[in-house]
Amino acid sequence: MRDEVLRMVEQHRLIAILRGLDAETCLKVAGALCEGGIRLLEVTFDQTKDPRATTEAIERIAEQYAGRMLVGVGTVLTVRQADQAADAGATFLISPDVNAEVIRRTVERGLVSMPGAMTPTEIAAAHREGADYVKVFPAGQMGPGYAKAVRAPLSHIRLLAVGGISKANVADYLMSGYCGAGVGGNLVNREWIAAGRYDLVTQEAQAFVQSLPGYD
Amino acid sequence: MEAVFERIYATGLVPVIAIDDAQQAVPLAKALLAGGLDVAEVTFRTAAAAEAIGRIRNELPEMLVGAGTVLTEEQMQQAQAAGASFVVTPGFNSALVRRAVEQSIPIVPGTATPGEMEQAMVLGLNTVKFFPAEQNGGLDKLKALAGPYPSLRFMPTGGINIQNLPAYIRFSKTLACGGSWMVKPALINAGAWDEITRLTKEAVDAMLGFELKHVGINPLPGQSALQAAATLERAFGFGWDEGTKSVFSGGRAFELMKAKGPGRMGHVAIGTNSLDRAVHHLKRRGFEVDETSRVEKNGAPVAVYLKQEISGFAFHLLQK
Repeated sequence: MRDEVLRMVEQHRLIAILRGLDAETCLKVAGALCEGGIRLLEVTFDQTKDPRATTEAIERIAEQYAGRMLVGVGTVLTVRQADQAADAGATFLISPDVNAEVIRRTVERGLVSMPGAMTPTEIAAAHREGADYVKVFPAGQMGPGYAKAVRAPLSHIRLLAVGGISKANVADYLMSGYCGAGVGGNLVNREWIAAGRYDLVTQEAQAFVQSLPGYD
Repeated sequence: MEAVFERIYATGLVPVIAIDDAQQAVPLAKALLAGGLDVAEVTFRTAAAAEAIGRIRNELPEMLVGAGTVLTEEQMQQAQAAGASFVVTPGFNSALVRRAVEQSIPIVPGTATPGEMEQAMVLGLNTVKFFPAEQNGGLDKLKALAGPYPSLRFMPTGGINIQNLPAYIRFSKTLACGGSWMVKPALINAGAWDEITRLTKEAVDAMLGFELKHVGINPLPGQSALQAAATLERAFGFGWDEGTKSVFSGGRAFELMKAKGPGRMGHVAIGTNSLDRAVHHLKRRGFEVDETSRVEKNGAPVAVYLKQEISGFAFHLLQK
């Protein structure tokens, strides 16, 4: 499964981030995004809420979209959350920070590990602990040139850009050393979801996919 | 260990090299030496690094060569065995730094935050790399980060170019800048040694930023500095300002000496971005300075004379 996830990330490059939505809404958004060409979804934990909201969404998306989309989990801060997400069927795991125990557990459970880091020190440490990708957050604050600079010495580390990535700039980031990007509010527009305009979510997903470098 | 860092400081600019073929190490190092740089960082981004370091060490002992992009203890040992004089890393790896400190290997770990810098200080370091310098906020950010740590010196690397180099060099906490624009892989692979020498010399000249600051004129017997100032004012309208030893005329363009000063005819002041580094590079170019003439202010160098006169004029460096 890990190989399949790695292949999907390399191929599709965009991870849509679903934050703060109930399981039912997550499913509808997943459908709209899938129709728009999105193949990777991240459903985040909210530390102030019941983790079952997240695990239920993951479980249902994994079941309904098996073979069409991969679902992962985001904002994982503890080993316990890593286990809960793995049990629910998440295939990749994203954290805001570099937590060696979480990374180890992620890989042990057969998931792909994507911890968050900013500085070369943190990025190299994440990789040493076994991260498959390192999420640079907030990448948008640093500009697209940041990955190129960091990867001059750290070319063996695969980076994902998260934070401030839009369809206007995603190509710049993916052509300057990031191998993928996570996109939240710039793709999963809350107003459209509140208004039930899933058609707009699909359209936006299509526009995003079309703005990727190499899209014909 | 301090001697290595003093040498890096004096050189001011460390070319960061990725070399694919160890056979090219010596011609490359010769091209850098010809351009004025006698320090080099050979990175473990390529498999040829250790051998390249060894070859430069053996054939060009005047080159101080270090190992860059060192990520593991194994690479550090390879670098040591090959004769690297210092080690540079992209990030702060405490296990690796601890090991280097135990073995008295001069190490410059990459840091980007106050937390990382403090970790380096806890392990006894007073020199860190600031990486990636430009992408992480540039000189303004470095100055802000350096504020609380007066004992730390920095090696800004990443995004340094001939335009921003002088400003980094003027910052007193800069040990040296790391840069790779004069040693681009395409140039190395093409064996473009003359071009590497040219780019290196251009970089050193930009770093030192030599420029004429003023001309000092000795008085002729029986004539006074004030008379000369009055003549310059009558001819060109230059205002003047009298000091104890001389009169400055035309802003600070002319220093009219009241009594005979250095030089048969007078002296010329050449401004530089870094007086210490100018002394080092002038020495490599065959010009000695007279250390007894050195003037300092609050521990920082202000001026120093060259031993040699040129066309009857003494020359002194002036820190900009």
